[in-house]
Amino acid sequence: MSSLTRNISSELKNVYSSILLARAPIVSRDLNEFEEAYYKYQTELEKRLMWTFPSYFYFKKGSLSERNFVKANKGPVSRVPDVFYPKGVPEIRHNRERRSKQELVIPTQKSMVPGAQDSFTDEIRANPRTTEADEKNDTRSLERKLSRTLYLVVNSGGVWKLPTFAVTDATQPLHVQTVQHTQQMCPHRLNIQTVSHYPVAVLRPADRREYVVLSHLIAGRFALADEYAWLAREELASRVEPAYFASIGHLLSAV
Amino acid sequence: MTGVVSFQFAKQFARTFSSAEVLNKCKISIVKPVHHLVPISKAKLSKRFEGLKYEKTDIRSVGFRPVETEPDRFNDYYENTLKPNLLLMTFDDGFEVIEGKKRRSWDGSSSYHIHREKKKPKGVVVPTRDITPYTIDNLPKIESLVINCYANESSQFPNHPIVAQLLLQQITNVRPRKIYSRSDVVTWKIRRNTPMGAKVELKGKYLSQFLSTLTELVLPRVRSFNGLDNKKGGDRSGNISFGLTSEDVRYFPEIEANQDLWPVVFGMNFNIITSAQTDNDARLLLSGLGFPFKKIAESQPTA
Repeated sequence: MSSLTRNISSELKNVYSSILLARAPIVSRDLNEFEEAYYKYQTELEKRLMWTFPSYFYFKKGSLSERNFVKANKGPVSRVPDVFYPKGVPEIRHNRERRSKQELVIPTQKSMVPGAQDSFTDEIRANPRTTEADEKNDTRSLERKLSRTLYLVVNSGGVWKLPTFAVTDATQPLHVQTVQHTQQMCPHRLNIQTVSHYPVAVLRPADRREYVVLSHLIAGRFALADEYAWLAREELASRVEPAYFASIGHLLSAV
Repeated sequence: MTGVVSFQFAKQFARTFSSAEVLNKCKISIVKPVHHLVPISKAKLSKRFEGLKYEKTDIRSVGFRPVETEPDRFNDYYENTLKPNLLLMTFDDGFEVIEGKKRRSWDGSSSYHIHREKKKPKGVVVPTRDITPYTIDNLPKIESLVINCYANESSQFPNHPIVAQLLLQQITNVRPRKIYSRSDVVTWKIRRNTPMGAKVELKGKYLSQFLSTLTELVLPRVRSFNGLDNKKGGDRSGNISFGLTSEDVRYFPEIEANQDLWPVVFGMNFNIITSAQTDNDARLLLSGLGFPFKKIAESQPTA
């Protein structure tokens, strides 16, 4: 057994491991102009084709909520014979104008009681998709480019590349060693999930072998003593050397 | 003579399948009837119901409903983030095809073996599929989710199946269908073909929407829910089932917002149909999609 170990360790010359540490997207992907227009059109079409809102089901007759709902929603213009309607003759079914989509006003705390505080009935506003780090273009921040996958690169000796470590211990699996080295590099405790015990790629610059291990950063404050950056795919392409990007580019997510 | 005249008229007009009558006078079809070999719904052949002819995905159909109203966040996450990781996770360089249990042919020692049905597979009743290595083409994916809501007291309260149907429609946004009892059970006072609840199959947009509600809003708030079991709940071919009680169902936002509206709610069973080849692969997928799982020590060992 010991002879076997010695044999393996003798082969460990010029063996390195790189960690491809990824931060998964936090918000949904960015839409292009066409997609935005397409989804908007489909949404409006859906609203137009929607059935009449069954207010009798959601608001019990004689209840306070029903009174608020009726107060907030003006009924459609009713049809009276011998009256000229400049916007066309109304076509009313179940208290709804059939010719257009049904506009509904949800009675909110604010609209019912003047001066009332916000409550859960008020409109839900989404948080902005861009953050402070986006404005400053702070590549060290993990809160930049929330809709993209970011990858960690470090500057070692003037060359930007994935964090790379020499593999010396022949008794431990490669992925375990790689995570341990990454952990030692960072002063704070990181929660890293390694995807597989198989490496995703082997790089062969000159006579050395670099095994790339894919991991995800789940949680933890991230800071390194060295110069580092969290970059999306196309930023990484311009930061690292072209030959290096050609060998790892296919591992990086375009989203 | 009249027969000749109406025959001429009949030739002039286009023959419609919907009625034999061309003129009001003659009540007998002179044109030879077409005997269809396939069942034909005559209502659809009529020109009055043009909108019924088309598929519901066709914009000319009366039942058309736009589906792509927003980007599918759940599916985007699966395609962009989960799939590459699943490919790496399920990779095994020493993997060889595990053959499923197939029906066994007879040895041919008797001439009666020639047309005899093959024997059952060894140890099981139904043949099982081969387990092949995963590639980018056959990675586990959720195909559909079947929700089954069975109202126990439907024989006493005939409106319970309707409530169950409405409940499912509220939380899934898809029209469910009723389910019926299959047999007479005297002890439960059930007769065959009594409506007993509702059932719905979710796919596509509605599936994504429902799964994200379930994993992000409902399951984290159910106190008694410690996660799916690592050993139980699978059907050995990659489909996972679990259930929620009637108290848990109240955590769905659609129900919670209108508590007064729902004096009665029912528990329901969820069957997640995946394209995974084994249950463990299916659990790997579900775990990636945000379903909580019990710690391995907590899971019950298989009997």
